[in-house]
Amino acid sequence: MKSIRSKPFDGSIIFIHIILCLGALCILSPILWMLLTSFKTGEEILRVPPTIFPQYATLNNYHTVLTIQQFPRFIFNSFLISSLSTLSVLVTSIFGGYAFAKFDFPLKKFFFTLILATAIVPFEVYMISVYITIGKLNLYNSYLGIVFPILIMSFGVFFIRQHCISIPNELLDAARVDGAAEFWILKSVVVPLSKTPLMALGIFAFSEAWAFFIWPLIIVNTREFYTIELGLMIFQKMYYIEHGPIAAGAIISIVPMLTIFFILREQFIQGVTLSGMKS
Amino acid sequence: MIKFVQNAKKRHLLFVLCTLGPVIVLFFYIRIIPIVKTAWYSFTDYSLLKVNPSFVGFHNYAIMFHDTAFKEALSNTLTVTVVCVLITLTLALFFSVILMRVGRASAVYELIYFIPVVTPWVPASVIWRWLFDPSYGLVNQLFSLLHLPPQSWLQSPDHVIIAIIIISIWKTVGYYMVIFNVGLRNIPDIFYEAATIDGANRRKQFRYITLPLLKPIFLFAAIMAVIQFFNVFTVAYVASADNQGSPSYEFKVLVWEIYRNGFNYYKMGYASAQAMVLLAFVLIIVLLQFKVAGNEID
Repeated sequence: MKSIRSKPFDGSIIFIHIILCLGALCILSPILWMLLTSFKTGEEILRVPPTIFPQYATLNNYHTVLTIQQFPRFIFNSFLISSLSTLSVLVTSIFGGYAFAKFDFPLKKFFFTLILATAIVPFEVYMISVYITIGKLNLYNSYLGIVFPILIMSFGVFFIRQHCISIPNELLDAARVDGAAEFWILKSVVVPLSKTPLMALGIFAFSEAWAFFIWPLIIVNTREFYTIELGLMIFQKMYYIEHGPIAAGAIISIVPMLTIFFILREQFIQGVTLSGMKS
Repeated sequence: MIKFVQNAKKRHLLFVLCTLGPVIVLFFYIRIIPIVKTAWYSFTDYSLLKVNPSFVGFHNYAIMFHDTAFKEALSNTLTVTVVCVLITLTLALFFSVILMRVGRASAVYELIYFIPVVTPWVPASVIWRWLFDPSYGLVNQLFSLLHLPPQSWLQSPDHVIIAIIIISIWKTVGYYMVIFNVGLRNIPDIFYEAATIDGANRRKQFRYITLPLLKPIFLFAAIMAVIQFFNVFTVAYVASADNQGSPSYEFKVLVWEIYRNGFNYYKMGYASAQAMVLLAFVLIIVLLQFKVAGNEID
Protein backbone atom coordinates (compact mmCIF):
# COMPACT_ATOMS: atom_id res chain seq x y z
CA MET A 1 0.00 0.00 0.00
CA LYS A 2 2.55 2.53 -1.09
CA SER A 3 -0.16 5.07 -1.76
CA ILE A 4 -0.98 5.24 1.91
CA ARG A 5 2.60 5.06 3.13
CA SER A 6 3.83 7.92 0.96
CA LYS A 7 1.09 10.22 2.12
CA PRO A 8 2.17 13.24 4.12
CA PHE A 9 2.63 12.54 7.82
CA ASP A 10 -0.58 12.34 9.75
CA GLY A 11 -1.15 12.10 13.48
CA SER A 12 -3.12 8.88 13.36
CA ILE A 13 0.12 6.98 12.69
CA ILE A 14 1.27 7.75 16.22
CA PHE A 15 -2.04 6.48 17.54
CA ILE A 16 -1.59 3.28 15.53
CA HIS A 17 1.89 2.80 16.94
CA ILE A 18 0.52 3.18 20.45
CA ILE A 19 -2.10 0.48 19.83
CA LEU A 20 0.48 -1.81 18.25
CA CYS A 21 2.87 -1.29 21.16
CA LEU A 22 0.13 -2.12 23.66
CA GLY A 23 -0.57 -5.28 21.70
CA ALA A 24 3.14 -6.12 21.70
CA LEU A 25 3.25 -5.59 25.46
CA CYS A 26 0.37 -8.04 25.98
CA ILE A 27 2.09 -10.53 23.70
CA LEU A 28 5.55 -10.25 25.28
CA SER A 29 4.85 -9.71 28.96
CA PRO A 30 3.97 -13.34 29.86
CA ILE A 31 7.24 -14.62 28.42
CA LEU A 32 9.27 -11.74 29.85
CA TRP A 33 7.68 -12.31 33.25
CA MET A 34 8.69 -15.97 33.12
CA LEU A 35 12.21 -14.96 32.09
CA LEU A 36 12.52 -12.58 35.05
CA THR A 37 11.01 -15.15 37.40
CA SER A 38 13.58 -17.71 36.31
CA PHE A 39 16.37 -15.53 37.74
CA LYS A 40 14.68 -14.91 41.08
CA THR A 41 15.23 -16.80 44.33
CA GLY A 42 12.45 -19.00 45.67
CA GLU A 43 11.70 -16.49 48.42
CA GLU A 44 11.47 -13.55 46.03
CA ILE A 45 9.11 -15.37 43.65
CA LEU A 46 6.51 -15.71 46.41
CA ARG A 47 6.74 -12.11 47.55
CA VAL A 48 3.58 -9.98 47.58
CA PRO A 49 3.56 -7.48 45.96
CA PRO A 50 5.99 -8.99 43.46
CA THR A 51 9.26 -7.44 42.40
CA ILE A 52 9.62 -6.86 38.69
CA PHE A 53 13.37 -7.24 38.32
CA PRO A 54 15.13 -9.90 40.37
CA GLN A 55 16.71 -8.38 43.44
CA TYR A 56 19.45 -10.97 43.72
CA ALA A 57 19.67 -12.42 40.23
CA THR A 58 20.62 -16.07 40.47
CA LEU A 59 21.29 -18.92 38.08
CA ASN A 60 20.33 -21.48 40.72
CA ASN A 61 17.07 -22.35 39.01
CA TYR A 62 18.87 -23.18 35.77
CA HIS A 63 21.41 -25.13 37.73
CA THR A 64 18.67 -27.21 39.39
CA VAL A 65 16.91 -27.94 36.15
CA LEU A 66 20.03 -28.78 34.19
CA THR A 67 21.82 -30.90 36.77
CA ILE A 68 19.25 -32.52 39.05
CA GLN A 69 16.26 -32.83 36.75
CA GLN A 70 17.82 -34.51 33.69
CA PHE A 71 16.68 -31.70 31.42
CA PRO A 72 19.77 -32.09 29.21
CA ARG A 73 18.60 -35.60 28.45
CA PHE A 74 15.10 -34.33 27.55
CA ILE A 75 16.58 -31.65 25.31
CA PHE A 76 18.73 -34.25 23.60
CA ASN A 77 15.66 -36.48 23.09
CA SER A 78 13.67 -33.62 21.61
CA PHE A 79 16.50 -32.72 19.24
CA LEU A 80 16.94 -36.31 18.17
CA ILE A 81 13.23 -36.92 17.57
CA SER A 82 12.70 -33.61 15.78
CA SER A 83 15.76 -34.20 13.57
CA LEU A 84 14.67 -37.72 12.68
CA SER A 85 11.18 -36.52 11.86
CA THR A 86 12.48 -33.63 9.77
CA LEU A 87 14.86 -35.84 7.82
CA SER A 88 12.18 -38.41 7.13
CA VAL A 89 9.58 -35.80 6.15
CA LEU A 90 12.05 -34.14 3.76
CA VAL A 91 13.04 -37.41 2.07
CA THR A 92 9.50 -38.77 1.75
CA SER A 93 8.17 -35.41 0.58
CA ILE A 94 10.75 -34.98 -2.17
CA PHE A 95 10.32 -38.62 -3.27
CA GLY A 96 6.55 -38.39 -3.26
CA GLY A 97 6.27 -34.80 -4.46
CA TYR A 98 8.64 -35.26 -7.38
CA ALA A 99 7.03 -38.52 -8.49
CA PHE A 100 3.53 -37.02 -8.39
CA ALA A 101 4.67 -33.91 -10.25
CA LYS A 102 6.72 -35.36 -13.08
CA PHE A 103 5.73 -38.99 -13.73
CA ASP A 104 2.74 -40.88 -14.99
CA PHE A 105 1.85 -44.18 -13.41
CA PRO A 106 -1.25 -46.25 -12.71
CA LEU A 107 -3.58 -45.03 -9.94
CA LYS A 108 -1.68 -41.75 -9.65
CA LYS A 109 -4.75 -39.66 -9.04
CA PHE A 110 -6.17 -42.16 -6.56
CA PHE A 111 -3.01 -42.21 -4.44
CA PHE A 112 -2.61 -38.46 -4.56
CA THR A 113 -6.19 -37.83 -3.44
CA LEU A 114 -5.77 -40.39 -0.68
CA ILE A 115 -2.61 -38.73 0.67
CA LEU A 116 -4.19 -35.31 0.46
CA ALA A 117 -7.35 -36.52 2.19
CA THR A 118 -5.39 -37.74 5.21
CA ALA A 119 -4.13 -34.18 5.70
CA ILE A 120 -7.48 -33.04 7.04
CA VAL A 121 -7.79 -35.82 9.62
CA PRO A 122 -6.35 -34.66 12.94
CA PHE A 123 -3.90 -37.03 14.60
CA GLU A 124 -6.13 -37.12 17.69
CA VAL A 125 -8.70 -39.04 15.64
CA TYR A 126 -6.56 -42.10 15.00
CA MET A 127 -4.00 -41.98 17.81
CA ILE A 128 -5.73 -44.90 19.58
CA SER A 129 -5.18 -47.16 16.63
CA VAL A 130 -1.55 -46.05 16.18
CA TYR A 131 -1.05 -46.75 19.89
CA ILE A 132 -2.31 -50.30 19.43
CA THR A 133 -0.01 -50.77 16.42
CA ILE A 134 2.96 -49.50 18.40
CA GLY A 135 2.05 -51.95 21.15
CA LYS A 136 2.06 -54.83 18.70
CA LEU A 137 5.47 -53.73 17.42
CA ASN A 138 6.62 -53.44 21.03
CA LEU A 139 7.84 -49.88 20.54
CA TYR A 140 6.53 -48.19 23.70
CA ASN A 141 9.28 -46.11 25.30
CA SER A 142 11.48 -45.97 22.23
CA TYR A 143 12.65 -43.26 19.85
CA LEU A 144 11.18 -45.07 16.87
CA GLY A 145 7.85 -45.29 18.65
CA ILE A 146 7.79 -41.54 19.38
CA VAL A 147 8.81 -40.54 15.88
CA PHE A 148 6.58 -43.11 14.16
CA PRO A 149 3.49 -40.94 13.47
CA ILE A 150 5.56 -37.97 12.28
CA LEU A 151 7.74 -39.82 9.78
CA ILE A 152 5.54 -38.48 6.97
CA MET A 153 3.55 -35.33 6.32
CA SER A 154 0.80 -35.15 3.70
CA PHE A 155 1.26 -31.43 3.41
CA GLY A 156 4.97 -31.94 2.65
CA VAL A 157 4.24 -34.21 -0.33
CA PHE A 158 1.67 -31.73 -1.63
CA PHE A 159 3.90 -28.70 -1.06
CA ILE A 160 6.94 -30.20 -2.82
CA ARG A 161 4.74 -31.44 -5.67
CA GLN A 162 3.45 -27.91 -6.25
CA HIS A 163 7.02 -26.74 -6.43
CA CYS A 164 8.27 -29.57 -8.69
CA ILE A 165 5.54 -28.87 -11.24
CA SER A 166 7.28 -25.55 -11.92
CA ILE A 167 10.59 -27.25 -12.82
CA PRO A 168 10.79 -27.25 -16.66
CA ASN A 169 10.57 -30.70 -18.26
CA GLU A 170 13.23 -29.70 -20.79
CA LEU A 171 15.78 -29.55 -18.01
CA LEU A 172 15.00 -33.10 -16.90
CA ASP A 173 14.86 -34.41 -20.49
CA ALA A 174 18.21 -32.80 -21.30
CA ALA A 175 19.76 -34.68 -18.42
CA ARG A 176 18.08 -37.89 -19.61
CA VAL A 177 19.40 -37.49 -23.16
CA ASP A 178 22.86 -37.13 -21.64
CA GLY A 179 22.27 -40.55 -20.15
CA ALA A 180 21.75 -39.52 -16.55
CA ALA A 181 20.07 -42.01 -14.25
CA GLU A 182 16.77 -40.96 -12.68
CA PHE A 183 18.18 -40.97 -9.15
CA TRP A 184 21.06 -38.78 -10.30
CA ILE A 185 18.58 -36.30 -11.81
CA LEU A 186 16.66 -36.21 -8.53
CA LYS A 187 19.83 -35.69 -6.51
CA SER A 188 21.67 -33.25 -8.79
CA VAL A 189 18.90 -31.34 -10.55
CA VAL A 190 15.64 -31.49 -8.61
CA VAL A 191 16.96 -31.22 -5.04
CA PRO A 192 19.25 -28.22 -5.69
CA LEU A 193 16.33 -26.47 -7.43
CA SER A 194 14.09 -27.18 -4.44
CA LYS A 195 16.34 -25.80 -1.71
CA THR A 196 14.01 -22.97 -0.67
CA PRO A 197 10.80 -25.01 -0.27
CA LEU A 198 12.74 -27.85 1.36
CA MET A 199 14.17 -25.38 3.86
CA ALA A 200 10.74 -23.99 4.70
CA LEU A 201 9.28 -27.49 4.99
CA GLY A 202 12.19 -28.64 7.14
CA ILE A 203 11.75 -25.82 9.62
CA PHE A 204 8.03 -26.45 9.77
CA ALA A 205 8.52 -30.19 10.34
CA PHE A 206 11.13 -29.54 13.03
CA SER A 207 8.96 -27.10 14.98
CA GLU A 208 5.92 -29.38 14.70
CA ALA A 209 7.92 -32.32 16.03
CA TRP A 210 9.42 -30.21 18.81
CA ALA A 211 5.97 -29.16 20.00
CA PHE A 212 4.40 -32.62 19.58
CA PHE A 213 2.88 -33.39 22.94
CA ILE A 214 -0.09 -35.73 23.09
CA TRP A 215 1.74 -38.65 21.48
CA PRO A 216 4.83 -38.72 23.74
CA LEU A 217 2.41 -38.27 26.64
CA ILE A 218 0.64 -41.47 25.62
CA ILE A 219 3.49 -43.81 24.74
CA VAL A 220 6.37 -42.72 26.99
CA ASN A 221 6.44 -43.45 30.68
CA THR A 222 10.13 -43.70 31.49
CA ARG A 223 12.21 -40.59 32.08
CA GLU A 224 14.82 -41.86 29.69
CA PHE A 225 12.62 -41.05 26.69
CA TYR A 226 10.89 -37.87 27.89
CA THR A 227 10.88 -35.06 25.39
CA ILE A 228 11.40 -31.55 26.72
CA GLU A 229 7.65 -30.86 26.47
CA LEU A 230 6.77 -33.97 28.42
CA GLY A 231 9.54 -33.37 30.94
CA LEU A 232 8.38 -29.83 31.56
CA MET A 233 4.76 -30.91 32.03
CA ILE A 234 5.60 -33.70 34.48
CA PHE A 235 8.07 -31.47 36.30
CA GLN A 236 5.36 -28.85 36.74
CA LYS A 237 2.89 -31.45 37.97
CA MET A 238 5.26 -32.72 40.63
CA TYR A 239 7.01 -29.59 41.83
CA TYR A 240 4.53 -26.79 41.31
CA ILE A 241 5.50 -25.13 44.59
CA GLU A 242 9.09 -24.59 43.52
CA HIS A 243 8.32 -22.24 40.76
CA GLY A 244 11.82 -20.99 39.97
CA PRO A 245 13.10 -24.19 38.36
CA ILE A 246 9.82 -24.56 36.42
CA ALA A 247 10.28 -21.06 35.03
CA ALA A 248 13.84 -21.95 34.05
CA GLY A 249 12.62 -25.16 32.41
CA ALA A 250 9.96 -23.31 30.43
CA ILE A 251 12.52 -20.78 29.22
CA ILE A 252 14.95 -23.55 28.25
CA SER A 253 12.26 -25.33 26.25
CA ILE A 254 11.42 -22.17 24.30
CA VAL A 255 14.98 -21.03 23.55
CA PRO A 256 15.78 -23.49 20.72
CA MET A 257 12.57 -22.60 18.85
CA LEU A 258 13.10 -18.87 19.34
CA THR A 259 16.70 -19.13 18.17
CA ILE A 260 15.73 -20.90 14.98
CA PHE A 261 12.93 -18.42 14.52
CA PHE A 262 15.15 -15.36 14.87
CA ILE A 263 17.88 -16.73 12.60
CA LEU A 264 15.59 -18.04 9.88
CA ARG A 265 12.66 -15.69 10.31
CA GLU A 266 11.63 -15.52 6.65
CA GLN A 267 11.65 -19.28 6.06
CA PHE A 268 10.01 -19.90 9.40
CA ILE A 269 7.04 -17.65 8.77
CA GLN A 270 6.84 -18.93 5.21
CA GLY A 271 6.89 -22.53 6.36
CA VAL A 272 4.34 -22.08 9.07
CA THR A 273 1.93 -19.96 7.09
CA LEU A 274 2.27 -21.96 3.88
CA SER A 275 1.32 -25.02 5.83
CA GLY A 276 -2.02 -23.36 6.28
CA MET A 277 -2.43 -22.73 2.57
CA LYS A 278 -2.65 -26.42 1.85
CA SER A 279 -6.31 -26.28 1.00
CA MET B 1 13.30 -45.31 -31.18
CA ILE B 2 10.09 -46.94 -29.97
CA LYS B 3 12.17 -49.37 -28.00
CA PHE B 4 14.06 -46.47 -26.42
CA VAL B 5 10.81 -44.83 -25.38
CA GLN B 6 9.49 -48.11 -23.99
CA ASN B 7 12.70 -48.62 -22.06
CA ALA B 8 12.46 -45.10 -20.72
CA LYS B 9 8.88 -45.77 -19.61
CA LYS B 10 9.95 -48.90 -17.80
CA ARG B 11 12.79 -47.04 -16.16
CA HIS B 12 10.40 -44.31 -15.09
CA LEU B 13 7.99 -46.81 -13.61
CA LEU B 14 10.81 -48.51 -11.74
CA PHE B 15 11.96 -45.15 -10.41
CA VAL B 16 8.46 -44.27 -9.22
CA LEU B 17 8.19 -47.67 -7.58
CA CYS B 18 11.45 -47.11 -5.71
CA THR B 19 10.70 -43.57 -4.55
CA LEU B 20 6.95 -43.21 -4.22
CA GLY B 21 6.38 -46.86 -3.36
CA PRO B 22 7.80 -46.73 0.18
CA VAL B 23 6.13 -43.37 0.75
CA ILE B 24 2.73 -44.79 -0.11
CA VAL B 25 3.36 -47.84 2.06
CA LEU B 26 4.18 -45.52 4.96
CA PHE B 27 1.04 -43.47 4.37
CA PHE B 28 -1.06 -46.60 4.45
CA TYR B 29 0.65 -47.91 7.54
CA ILE B 30 0.73 -44.69 9.57
CA ARG B 31 -2.36 -42.82 8.37
CA ILE B 32 -4.91 -44.66 6.28
CA ILE B 33 -5.07 -48.02 8.03
CA PRO B 34 -5.18 -46.45 11.54
CA ILE B 35 -8.02 -44.15 10.47
CA VAL B 36 -10.03 -47.07 9.07
CA LYS B 37 -9.23 -49.22 12.10
CA THR B 38 -10.36 -46.51 14.51
CA ALA B 39 -13.68 -46.39 12.67
CA TRP B 40 -13.91 -50.17 13.12
CA TYR B 41 -12.93 -50.09 16.81
CA SER B 42 -15.73 -47.61 17.43
CA PHE B 43 -18.19 -50.45 16.81
CA THR B 44 -16.44 -52.87 19.18
CA ASP B 45 -15.80 -53.09 22.90
CA TYR B 46 -12.04 -53.11 22.25
CA SER B 47 -10.14 -52.68 25.48
CA LEU B 48 -6.58 -53.29 26.54
CA LEU B 49 -8.04 -55.34 29.39
CA LYS B 50 -10.11 -57.56 27.12
CA VAL B 51 -8.32 -60.00 24.87
CA ASN B 52 -11.02 -60.66 22.28
CA PRO B 53 -13.05 -57.61 21.32
CA SER B 54 -16.55 -58.25 20.04
CA PHE B 55 -18.80 -56.28 17.74
CA VAL B 56 -21.30 -54.15 19.65
CA GLY B 57 -22.93 -52.13 16.87
CA PHE B 58 -23.81 -48.58 17.81
CA HIS B 59 -23.59 -49.28 21.53
CA ASN B 60 -20.60 -46.91 22.04
CA TYR B 61 -22.39 -44.12 20.22
CA ALA B 62 -25.51 -44.68 22.31
CA ILE B 63 -23.52 -44.42 25.55
CA MET B 64 -22.21 -41.03 24.54
CA PHE B 65 -25.66 -39.50 24.79
CA HIS B 66 -25.83 -40.42 28.48
CA ASP B 67 -22.21 -39.62 29.31
CA THR B 68 -22.28 -36.35 31.23
CA ALA B 69 -18.49 -35.94 31.04
CA PHE B 70 -18.64 -36.27 27.26
CA LYS B 71 -21.51 -33.81 26.97
CA GLU B 72 -19.70 -31.32 29.18
CA ALA B 73 -16.54 -31.77 27.10
CA LEU B 74 -18.41 -31.27 23.84
CA SER B 75 -20.14 -28.14 25.07
CA ASN B 76 -16.86 -26.72 26.44
CA THR B 77 -15.07 -27.48 23.19
CA LEU B 78 -17.77 -25.81 21.11
CA THR B 79 -17.81 -22.74 23.35
CA VAL B 80 -14.02 -22.38 23.23
CA THR B 81 -14.07 -22.86 19.47
CA VAL B 82 -16.76 -20.26 18.76
CA VAL B 83 -15.42 -17.62 21.15
CA CYS B 84 -11.77 -18.12 20.18
CA VAL B 85 -12.45 -18.08 16.45
CA LEU B 86 -14.48 -14.88 16.67
CA ILE B 87 -12.09 -12.96 18.92
CA THR B 88 -8.85 -14.27 17.41
CA LEU B 89 -9.83 -13.54 13.82
CA THR B 90 -11.25 -10.10 14.65
CA LEU B 91 -8.12 -9.13 16.58
CA ALA B 92 -5.84 -10.59 13.89
CA LEU B 93 -7.66 -8.71 11.13
CA PHE B 94 -7.64 -5.50 13.14
CA PHE B 95 -3.89 -5.66 13.83
CA SER B 96 -3.15 -6.74 10.29
CA VAL B 97 -5.04 -3.80 8.78
CA ILE B 98 -3.44 -1.18 11.00
CA LEU B 99 -0.06 -2.86 10.53
CA MET B 100 -0.26 -2.12 6.81
CA ARG B 101 -0.12 1.58 7.62
CA VAL B 102 3.11 1.71 9.58
CA GLY B 103 5.43 0.89 6.69
CA ARG B 104 8.73 -0.76 7.46
CA ALA B 105 8.12 -0.94 11.21
CA SER B 106 5.51 -3.61 10.49
CA ALA B 107 8.29 -6.22 10.25
CA VAL B 108 9.22 -5.61 13.90
CA TYR B 109 5.65 -5.94 15.12
CA GLU B 110 5.15 -9.01 12.97
CA LEU B 111 8.20 -10.57 14.61
CA ILE B 112 6.96 -9.83 18.14
CA TYR B 113 3.40 -10.96 17.52
CA PHE B 114 4.70 -14.22 16.10
CA ILE B 115 6.69 -15.19 19.21
CA PRO B 116 3.78 -16.98 20.96
CA VAL B 117 3.14 -18.92 17.75
CA VAL B 118 6.70 -20.23 17.94
CA THR B 119 6.30 -21.05 21.64
CA PRO B 120 4.97 -24.60 21.96
CA TRP B 121 1.71 -25.15 23.86
CA VAL B 122 3.30 -26.77 26.93
CA PRO B 123 5.63 -23.91 27.96
CA ALA B 124 2.90 -21.43 26.94
CA SER B 125 0.46 -23.16 29.29
CA VAL B 126 3.06 -23.44 32.05
CA ILE B 127 3.77 -19.71 31.77
CA TRP B 128 0.09 -18.77 31.92
CA ARG B 129 -0.69 -21.17 34.72
CA TRP B 130 1.74 -19.22 36.86
CA LEU B 131 0.24 -15.89 35.75
CA PHE B 132 -3.19 -17.17 36.80
CA ASP B 133 -1.99 -18.52 40.14
CA PRO B 134 -4.57 -17.43 42.75
CA SER B 135 -2.07 -16.18 45.35
CA TYR B 136 1.10 -15.20 43.50
CA GLY B 137 -0.05 -14.80 39.90
CA LEU B 138 0.56 -11.55 38.09
CA VAL B 139 -3.06 -11.38 36.89
CA ASN B 140 -4.46 -11.22 40.40
CA GLN B 141 -1.71 -8.82 41.48
CA LEU B 142 -2.79 -6.49 38.69
CA PHE B 143 -6.39 -6.98 39.78
CA SER B 144 -5.54 -5.86 43.30
CA LEU B 145 -3.77 -2.78 41.91
CA LEU B 146 -7.06 -1.92 40.20
CA HIS B 147 -8.94 -2.67 43.46
CA LEU B 148 -10.68 -5.67 41.89
CA PRO B 149 -11.23 -8.81 43.96
CA PRO B 150 -8.77 -11.63 43.19
CA GLN B 151 -10.20 -14.51 41.17
CA SER B 152 -9.42 -18.20 41.36
CA TRP B 153 -8.93 -18.47 37.61
CA LEU B 154 -8.07 -22.12 37.21
CA GLN B 155 -9.95 -23.40 40.24
CA SER B 156 -13.50 -22.37 39.51
CA PRO B 157 -15.57 -23.92 36.71
CA ASP B 158 -16.82 -20.49 35.61
CA HIS B 159 -13.41 -18.87 35.29
CA VAL B 160 -11.33 -21.70 33.91
CA ILE B 161 -12.95 -21.34 30.49
CA ILE B 162 -12.02 -17.65 30.39
CA ALA B 163 -8.43 -18.50 31.25
CA ILE B 164 -8.26 -21.18 28.55
CA ILE B 165 -9.71 -18.79 25.98
CA ILE B 166 -7.25 -16.01 26.89
CA ILE B 167 -4.28 -18.38 26.58
CA SER B 168 -5.52 -19.74 23.25
CA ILE B 169 -6.02 -16.28 21.77
CA TRP B 170 -2.62 -15.10 22.99
CA LYS B 171 -0.98 -18.13 21.40
CA THR B 172 -2.66 -17.96 17.98
CA VAL B 173 -3.48 -14.36 17.13
CA GLY B 174 -0.05 -13.73 15.58
CA TYR B 175 -0.44 -16.67 13.23
CA TYR B 176 -3.69 -15.42 11.73
CA MET B 177 -2.34 -11.89 11.61
CA VAL B 178 0.55 -13.03 9.44
CA ILE B 179 -1.85 -14.94 7.20
CA PHE B 180 -3.95 -11.80 6.75
CA ASN B 181 -0.79 -9.77 6.13
CA VAL B 182 0.01 -12.04 3.20
CA GLY B 183 -3.50 -11.48 1.87
CA LEU B 184 -3.43 -7.73 2.34
CA ARG B 185 -0.02 -7.35 0.70
CA ASN B 186 -1.37 -9.19 -2.34
CA ILE B 187 -4.06 -6.56 -2.92
CA PRO B 188 -2.64 -4.33 -5.68
CA ASP B 189 -1.95 -0.72 -4.68
CA ILE B 190 -3.71 0.49 -7.76
CA PHE B 191 -7.12 -0.35 -6.26
CA TYR B 192 -6.50 1.98 -3.35
CA GLU B 193 -5.03 4.67 -5.60
CA ALA B 194 -8.09 4.58 -7.83
CA ALA B 195 -10.39 4.70 -4.81
CA THR B 196 -8.49 7.64 -3.34
CA ILE B 197 -8.81 9.53 -6.62
CA ASP B 198 -12.53 8.75 -6.60
CA GLY B 199 -12.70 10.25 -3.15
CA ALA B 200 -13.37 7.13 -1.11
CA ASN B 201 -12.25 7.51 2.51
CA ARG B 202 -10.42 4.84 4.50
CA ARG B 203 -13.54 3.29 5.95
CA LYS B 204 -15.09 2.95 2.51
CA GLN B 205 -11.86 1.55 1.11
CA PHE B 206 -11.83 -1.05 3.85
CA ARG B 207 -15.49 -1.94 3.29
CA TYR B 208 -15.45 -2.10 -0.51
CA ILE B 209 -11.88 -3.10 -1.39
CA THR B 210 -10.10 -4.78 1.51
CA LEU B 211 -12.91 -6.94 2.85
CA PRO B 212 -14.16 -8.42 -0.46
CA LEU B 213 -10.63 -9.12 -1.72
CA LEU B 214 -9.60 -10.65 1.58
CA LYS B 215 -12.66 -12.89 1.74
CA PRO B 216 -11.08 -16.09 0.36
CA ILE B 217 -8.17 -15.89 2.81
CA PHE B 218 -10.49 -14.96 5.64
CA LEU B 219 -12.70 -17.97 4.94
CA PHE B 220 -9.73 -20.25 4.80
CA ALA B 221 -8.36 -18.83 8.07
CA ALA B 222 -11.75 -19.34 9.69
CA ILE B 223 -11.81 -23.02 8.72
CA MET B 224 -8.24 -23.50 9.96
CA ALA B 225 -9.09 -21.80 13.23
CA VAL B 226 -12.26 -23.82 13.78
CA ILE B 227 -10.37 -27.08 13.30
CA GLN B 228 -7.45 -25.92 15.43
CA PHE B 229 -9.57 -24.81 18.38
CA PHE B 230 -11.82 -27.84 18.17
CA ASN B 231 -8.72 -29.96 18.75
CA VAL B 232 -7.86 -28.03 21.93
CA PHE B 233 -6.09 -30.31 24.37
CA THR B 234 -2.62 -29.38 25.61
CA VAL B 235 -3.63 -26.06 27.13
CA ALA B 236 -6.50 -27.67 29.03
CA TYR B 237 -4.37 -30.62 30.09
CA VAL B 238 -1.40 -28.58 31.30
CA ALA B 239 -3.08 -25.46 32.62
CA SER B 240 -6.10 -27.01 34.31
CA ALA B 241 -4.86 -30.39 35.52
CA ASP B 242 -4.35 -30.97 39.22
CA ASN B 243 -0.83 -30.34 40.40
CA GLN B 244 0.76 -31.10 43.70
CA GLY B 245 0.40 -27.92 45.68
CA SER B 246 -1.98 -26.37 43.19
CA PRO B 247 -5.33 -28.06 42.67
CA SER B 248 -7.39 -26.95 39.75
CA TYR B 249 -10.75 -27.55 38.14
CA GLU B 250 -10.26 -29.96 35.23
CA PHE B 251 -11.52 -28.27 32.11
CA LYS B 252 -12.99 -31.12 30.07
CA VAL B 253 -12.53 -30.96 26.31
CA LEU B 254 -13.27 -33.50 23.61
CA VAL B 255 -9.70 -34.64 22.93
CA TRP B 256 -9.08 -34.99 26.65
CA GLU B 257 -12.13 -37.26 26.91
CA ILE B 258 -10.76 -39.39 24.07
CA TYR B 259 -7.43 -39.52 25.88
CA ARG B 260 -9.02 -40.30 29.24
CA ASN B 261 -11.26 -43.09 27.96
CA GLY B 262 -8.59 -44.58 25.76
CA PHE B 263 -5.50 -44.33 27.94
CA ASN B 264 -6.70 -43.94 31.52
CA TYR B 265 -9.69 -46.31 31.41
CA TYR B 266 -8.44 -48.38 28.45
CA LYS B 267 -11.88 -48.26 26.84
CA MET B 268 -10.44 -48.09 23.32
CA GLY B 269 -13.75 -48.88 21.63
CA TYR B 270 -15.60 -46.09 23.36
CA ALA B 271 -12.72 -43.64 22.86
CA SER B 272 -12.73 -44.51 19.16
CA ALA B 273 -16.41 -43.64 18.94
CA GLN B 274 -15.62 -40.24 20.46
CA ALA B 275 -12.76 -39.85 17.99
CA MET B 276 -15.27 -40.45 15.21
CA VAL B 277 -17.32 -37.54 16.53
CA LEU B 278 -14.21 -35.39 16.23
CA LEU B 279 -13.66 -36.63 12.67
CA ALA B 280 -17.29 -36.03 11.73
CA PHE B 281 -17.05 -32.47 12.97
CA VAL B 282 -13.88 -31.78 10.99
CA LEU B 283 -15.37 -33.33 7.83
CA ILE B 284 -18.52 -31.23 8.13
CA ILE B 285 -16.42 -28.07 8.44
CA VAL B 286 -14.27 -29.00 5.43
CA LEU B 287 -17.31 -29.87 3.30
CA LEU B 288 -18.88 -26.59 4.31
CA GLN B 289 -15.76 -24.82 3.13
CA PHE B 290 -15.87 -26.59 -0.24
CA LYS B 291 -19.49 -25.61 -0.59
CA VAL B 292 -18.84 -21.96 0.19
CA ALA B 293 -15.77 -21.91 -2.06
CA GLY B 294 -17.85 -23.57 -4.80
CA ASN B 295 -20.53 -20.89 -4.53
CA GLU B 296 -17.84 -18.23 -4.81
CA ILE B 297 -16.76 -19.58 -8.18
CA ASP B 298 -20.33 -19.66 -9.47
